[in-house]
Amino acid sequence: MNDIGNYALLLSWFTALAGCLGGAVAGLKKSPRWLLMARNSTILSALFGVTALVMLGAAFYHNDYSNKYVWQFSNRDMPAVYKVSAIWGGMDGSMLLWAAILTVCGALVALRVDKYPRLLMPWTLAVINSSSLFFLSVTLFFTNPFRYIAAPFVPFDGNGLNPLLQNPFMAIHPPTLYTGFTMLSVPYAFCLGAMLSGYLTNDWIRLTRRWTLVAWAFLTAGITLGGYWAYIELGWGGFWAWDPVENASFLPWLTATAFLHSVMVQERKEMLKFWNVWLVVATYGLTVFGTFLTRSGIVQSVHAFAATDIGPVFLIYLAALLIVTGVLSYYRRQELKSPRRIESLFSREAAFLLNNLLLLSICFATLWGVMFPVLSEAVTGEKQTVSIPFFNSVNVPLFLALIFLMGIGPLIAWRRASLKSLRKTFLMPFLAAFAMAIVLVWAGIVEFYPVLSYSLAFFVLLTILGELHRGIKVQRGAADSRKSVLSASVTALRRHRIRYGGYFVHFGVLVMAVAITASMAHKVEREFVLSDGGEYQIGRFTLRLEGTNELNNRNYQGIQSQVSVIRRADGKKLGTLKPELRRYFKNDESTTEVALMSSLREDLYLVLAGTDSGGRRMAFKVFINPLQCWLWIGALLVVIGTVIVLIPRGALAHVAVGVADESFAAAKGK
Amino acid sequence: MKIFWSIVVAVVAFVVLFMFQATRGTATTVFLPSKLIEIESKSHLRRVRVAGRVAGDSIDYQVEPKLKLSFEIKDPQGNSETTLPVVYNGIKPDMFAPGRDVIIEGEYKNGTVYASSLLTQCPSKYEPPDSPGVKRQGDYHQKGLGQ
Repeated sequence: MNDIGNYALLLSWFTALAGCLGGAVAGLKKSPRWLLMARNSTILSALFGVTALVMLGAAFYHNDYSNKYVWQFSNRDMPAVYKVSAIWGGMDGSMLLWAAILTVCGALVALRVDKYPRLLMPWTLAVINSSSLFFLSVTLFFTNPFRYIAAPFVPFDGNGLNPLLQNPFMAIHPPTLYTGFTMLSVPYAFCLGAMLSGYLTNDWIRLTRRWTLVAWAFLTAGITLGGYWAYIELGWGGFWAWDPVENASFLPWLTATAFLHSVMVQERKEMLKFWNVWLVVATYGLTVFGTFLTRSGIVQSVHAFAATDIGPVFLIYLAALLIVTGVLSYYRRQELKSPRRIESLFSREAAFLLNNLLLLSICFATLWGVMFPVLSEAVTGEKQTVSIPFFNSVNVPLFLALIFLMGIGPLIAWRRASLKSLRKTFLMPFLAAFAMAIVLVWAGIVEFYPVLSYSLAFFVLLTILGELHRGIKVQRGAADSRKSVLSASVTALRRHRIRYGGYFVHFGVLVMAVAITASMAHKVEREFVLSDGGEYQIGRFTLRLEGTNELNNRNYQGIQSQVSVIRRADGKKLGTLKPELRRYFKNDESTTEVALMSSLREDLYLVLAGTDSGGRRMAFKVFINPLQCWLWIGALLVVIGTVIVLIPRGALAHVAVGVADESFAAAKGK
Repeated sequence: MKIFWSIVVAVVAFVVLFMFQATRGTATTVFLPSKLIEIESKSHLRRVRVAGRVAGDSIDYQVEPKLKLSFEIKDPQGNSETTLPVVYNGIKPDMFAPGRDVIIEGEYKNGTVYASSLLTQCPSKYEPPDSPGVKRQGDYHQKGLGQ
């Protein structure tokens, strides 16, 4: 399996090289035959890349400890699902996963080569293959996961996977995230392809919009899954710590979000062309930079990969990327000039520009925070770091400004908004939000940021509802006035599916914003010690320790406590929490297993912290995280909204008409 | 273009100022344990961040009356054997063990670091203690032939 995997990887590398060169020749000679060759090479490269990945998976599944990587990250007693997810448990396999998904993205583009503009495709394929080539080279020459173990005989058992990674969410979080990352190379390939070929119409933007959206949805889902894993596994009651690894995934998400918005300005107004080119390249560059950051060991992180010597390779690639883009965008500067200007500060163009600047500011501040240890050491010789307070104090106000813009941007008029239209659209929501702020203060929430955050979210919600209301009214007015509200809204949604999908995404973001605010502002945490039968009161709950028993498992031994949760108001038992403290045999590591009782209102989060020296009294840490589950629901809404936007035109027509007819009939029957 | 650039300049100026302020307020110097002990005499009470390795046999974890984890750290690399005592009032973090690299943030008082945060370096960084075929051979031997 090792050899097959290694050869598959090598063949994938060669076919990517062929695709890259073939694309370039096709671009120079404008030759369809070379384009066909580039197309087929790209597809072959993906087949070989996936084969290599499958081979590594098979090596894990069959406990092939002649493979050094498999030996390092697996052992016999591990459940099969974790054996497979151990593929990306370490650096080498994660690079292979990355490269394999990237070749698949290339193939997906190549398969549709006939549908895209002929002038654009050769260079696009060349660029996307160059990207695959880079990641395949790193995998093949620097982090090859198919190396044989340097032992005199094949070991009977492996070293084992870190217990913290033995979690179902670690099985899906990395592939989801990597799919998002690698898909962002498609807009990048189209963008460079457009500049190389000189085919600089809006086509490349239009064609890559769906790609960017899919990538963005995966990235959003991947980042949230990572946060969820941290929340349920690490036992500190939080989901985001501004750790370099988290930030590395957050940076391209920010620029991709900015790009999704500025694209609309280019499509409608042919503005921000130059800006968009750099935004796309920056997004791709940041995915590469993130890989570099988490794998080169240049910054200390709680969960970084082991430090390796691949840093310089990534830096050279990034430098080359910047130089090529710089030269190309200078060379094409005439074509990238926008024919129009922003006419007024009160216009959708200006709002979108502001949105982009805020997103980039958050990106820059985060990057600054991540790189601060390196920068301060280089400048002053003394290594300094910034941590969570820095990121929060800078990014929270920027995010709040962004939420405010989320209410303004989609509704304000293009070009120039009149005072009258501004008043009509925004005055009521604004006053209502102001009233909301007063109510919140009256209800006892007096901190500035939470009040501002909730009120802003309310403001945006009202603008979205107002827009929905207007849309339905227009539909009802346009056709039959007897048309039911339901049927009118279905028609409105169908006609403007993309716009309403966007509002749906915004709504999801609002839900997340409220959940994050609640968790930052109203989280409660306590420590306490109990003997059997002892009780502790927190919030609305009484916790009673019923007992503790020992656990014995093939992988670990440990203790598990049973803690009853009782509602204080009426003494009703709500359930039993069973937090665990485990000690894994491999490498003698201990971990806590969090017990969680989740409701729409709050999460009760219980950690078994340890026992006293006699082993009779148990120490616990408990968190009450208000509105926590709305964070995950909000993220789900964001992804659903993106899917609504992505549904192909016409696919919904059938369903929607059916529903509309039925409700129409129902309305008539009344 | 005037509007474009005025928006850009205004936002950039605001953000840079804000970032500068936040950096000045929150930046903490990172020390090695030996370095911190060396400069101890100069300052007695200060916020520090220390990156060190947990020294073997120094860990003491009590849950009563308060959670209290005390241990000693030394330089992760190099020959310095000086150790720095650390006291942390909180849960022993997952994967905390002798030989692990930790990052501690807290107050440095009378030769002891009172940690407000304690991070164990780990998750994805999961390398075997030694390269295979060297020291761990005995390990295979037991497992491989004993079963």
